[in-house]
Amino acid sequence: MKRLLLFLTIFCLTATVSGQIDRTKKPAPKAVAPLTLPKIQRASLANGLSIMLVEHHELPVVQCQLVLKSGSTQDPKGKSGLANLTAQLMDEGTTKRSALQVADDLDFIGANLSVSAAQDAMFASLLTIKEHLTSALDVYADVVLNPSFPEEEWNRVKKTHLASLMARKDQPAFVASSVFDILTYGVEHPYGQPSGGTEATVNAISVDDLKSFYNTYFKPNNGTLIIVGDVTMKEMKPMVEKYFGSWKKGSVSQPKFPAAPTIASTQIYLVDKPQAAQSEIRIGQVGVARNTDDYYAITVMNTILGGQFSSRINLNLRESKGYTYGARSSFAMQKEAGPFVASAAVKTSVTDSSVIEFMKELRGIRDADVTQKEFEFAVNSIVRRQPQGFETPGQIAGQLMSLVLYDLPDDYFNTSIQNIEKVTVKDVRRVAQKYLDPKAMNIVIVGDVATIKDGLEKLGYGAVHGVSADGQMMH
Amino acid sequence: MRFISTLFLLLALAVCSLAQVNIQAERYTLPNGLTVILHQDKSVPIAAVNIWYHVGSANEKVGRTGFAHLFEHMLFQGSQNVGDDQHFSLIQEAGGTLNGSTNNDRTNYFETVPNNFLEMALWLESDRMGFLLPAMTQEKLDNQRDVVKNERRQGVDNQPYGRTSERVAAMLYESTHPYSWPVIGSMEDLSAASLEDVKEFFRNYYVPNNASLVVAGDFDVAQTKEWINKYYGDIPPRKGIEPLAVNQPALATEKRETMEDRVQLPRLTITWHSTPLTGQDDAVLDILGDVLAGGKNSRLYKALVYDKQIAQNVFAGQGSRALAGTFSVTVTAKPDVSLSDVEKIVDEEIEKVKNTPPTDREIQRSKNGTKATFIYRLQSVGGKADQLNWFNTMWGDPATINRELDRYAKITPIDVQNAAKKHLIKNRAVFSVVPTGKKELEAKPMSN
Repeated sequence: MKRLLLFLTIFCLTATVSGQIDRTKKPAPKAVAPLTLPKIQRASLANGLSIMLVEHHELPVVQCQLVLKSGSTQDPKGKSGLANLTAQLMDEGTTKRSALQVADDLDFIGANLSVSAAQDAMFASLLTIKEHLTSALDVYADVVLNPSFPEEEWNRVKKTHLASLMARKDQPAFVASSVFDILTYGVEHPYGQPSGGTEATVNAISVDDLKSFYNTYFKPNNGTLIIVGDVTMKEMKPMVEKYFGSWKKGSVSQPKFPAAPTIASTQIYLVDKPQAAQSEIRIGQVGVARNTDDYYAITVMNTILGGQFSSRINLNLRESKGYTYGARSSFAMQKEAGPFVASAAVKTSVTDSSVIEFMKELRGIRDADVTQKEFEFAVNSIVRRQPQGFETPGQIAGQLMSLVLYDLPDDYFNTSIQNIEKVTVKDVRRVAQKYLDPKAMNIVIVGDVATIKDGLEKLGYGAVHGVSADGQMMH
Repeated sequence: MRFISTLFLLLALAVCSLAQVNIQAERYTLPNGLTVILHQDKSVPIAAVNIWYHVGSANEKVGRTGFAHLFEHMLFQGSQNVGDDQHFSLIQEAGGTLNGSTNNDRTNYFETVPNNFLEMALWLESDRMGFLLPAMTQEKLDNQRDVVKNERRQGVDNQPYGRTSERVAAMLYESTHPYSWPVIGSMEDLSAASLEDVKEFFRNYYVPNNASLVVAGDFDVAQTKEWINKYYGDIPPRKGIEPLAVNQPALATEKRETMEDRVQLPRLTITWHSTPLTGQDDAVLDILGDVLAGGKNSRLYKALVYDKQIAQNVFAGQGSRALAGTFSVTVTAKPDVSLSDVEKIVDEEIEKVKNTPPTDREIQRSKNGTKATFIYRLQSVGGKADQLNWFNTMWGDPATINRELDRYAKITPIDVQNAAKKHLIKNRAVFSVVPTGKKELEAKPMSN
């Protein structure tokens, strides 16, 4: 073996000297090495808590992810921010530990715990090294089962949260996205509510609201505990039983969604940020829910349109025009139809030109078939990317989370590649025409109105509308 | 033999609770000086390619700031055998992920690909090391200059507090010091960069003897060595790259500056010169950072955020860099809080650490957290590849990755106290960011 290696080395050096390496030819890929998909083991407790476990023994690390299928869309009217703040308060004191004890017990073992709320779900996640698993689980279960919502911690967290709502208004990217959501979904639809709330809604929330939100939605039968790491079901099941077995079940209702408002014609909305160096642009409309039959075709279509660096939108606005550091598009395919958004931060002086290029791309993908080359590129990149999504315990837990949230079968990862490969060029055009309507989109721009307004009014979308950073129309 | 290995095992168990990291890596050097480091990890059929060039913004000249980073962008624009924009698209079509980054001390480029595309990744990386200039044009430079200016607008000019780090650097260093200018550079210098500047920079620094290449993941070692020889072996080295020799600077007085910005919350940043990465106190100052601001029970968080509730968040820590280090404390205050009040409490808390060593629990909490974070960083092959290059470039040996936790294990509370006394001194840079029109909130000098 050693001799062979030496031989090869000499051979290569010789080849180099005599200039025999042909660098003009791209090396062809070797045979694909099969990816062993994680084997999902399932169990459940008598109280209805589902357990999904994947063994991953590469490092002495354990990742737990508790998913509860209720999120900020359950915020009562006038109390937006409630799910988010409930999550924030959960590690601020339990019936057994003060806020500082929770933090100290976790920090002392280097474990990371966080509780958070998304639109359709709430999460409690734990990352720990295995030698501290028992201590980490003890705090984790305490936070999930016994939060005490102390009044004085609530007052502190509320004050901090209100200050961060103020600070977010300094970030043009945040303002652009939040105004886009408010305008696109309207005040009645839960996706139009700012998930962090507003000053008024946060001030309307009391400790009793937090407790009641927690008591309503934190039920074991509404949850799945995903465990990935250096453990087995045999050792984990008794531990989950010990720490989560006393959790009481209860009935949980799912929210009803009103229809999102329809957009009659494409309009431009401007939020003023005087002397801004860039304009933050968001262009889009209501998209489609995750359970659509067109999921795979849309995924391929958006990969070509704006889903990665080598996509039409980025190659045009960044690489060809130099207008931006990066431009992209995405479909938020959630429990309900999340938004389709194309976005970029562009140099102020090219704001109108950027909108022209965005709209050109949005029409272009509808008006003609994508080329065979673009199509194969997109399919290849999606299919071949699969192994990278299963590398770390956190990534695997994230993949399992999508199964839980969207009711996908356990063999989903075995079939998803075949389903991507079934998509055709015609499908791409069909879904572009079905789910993108450049004549009925909201264009939201945060930038220096004095400089950009005139150019934008010449684009053919009528007079621009002034909007406040809270998404209120200005007259 | 058996006896020896049992003894070995016992020893291994004894040190296990301090440092149980054991990353095996093979290092060798090609005749042209390229350092190669290989690490096997067969858990997923992917491979990470990660190359560090020992050149960063510190190697730039005054008047040409931002150059190392602008150059990083040019490396994605094609080379002699790789078409414009093909670097990104070939890796993405292979299902890979890729990027590059530039800091003061180094520039890195990395991609993780399905392992059957490893040869292609090595071909791509080597072509832009050896054969970049034939494909370099004025047009590409102009385009990427615009992209980088937008990166600066997005990350600095249009970002709340975005100019803080360059303003603080200007307070800390003489204008000729290589850390005095920002990595992203100034708009003027970016405009001034010429095609000839780009070419000269390439010839000076983008050579095999100024680089180290890591391949980590699931690959065949013999085959990969052969490919590395094939694609890198004929790239000529360049003699005479002098390492930068700069001493750790010190401030002669305390400095204060204030910036009015479009922000709602005032922010105080206090920065001290400390010690370079390889200095004795580097790890001690990491622990001091945790004692001051790591978690809810840390001194500054507890005082400012939890008890007095005059701050939104706090940060404290050692900025580890090759030539010179800094230790900084940053406090974002609640609306309309005077930064003088914040500074007073920061100083009181630092004084307490100087007067009394931190508790054993505070030190142990920091060490345990350091260990866990270090292990979490090794979860992906891309992360491991970058860490191996970090240890090779900064410490001269990739195997130091397995001794990293030892740097922390031996630190005592008195070491932390002494480091606070030695480094957190009166001569420091105090920088206030206040909302426009509220200059009265700035941190004013104490009138003792």
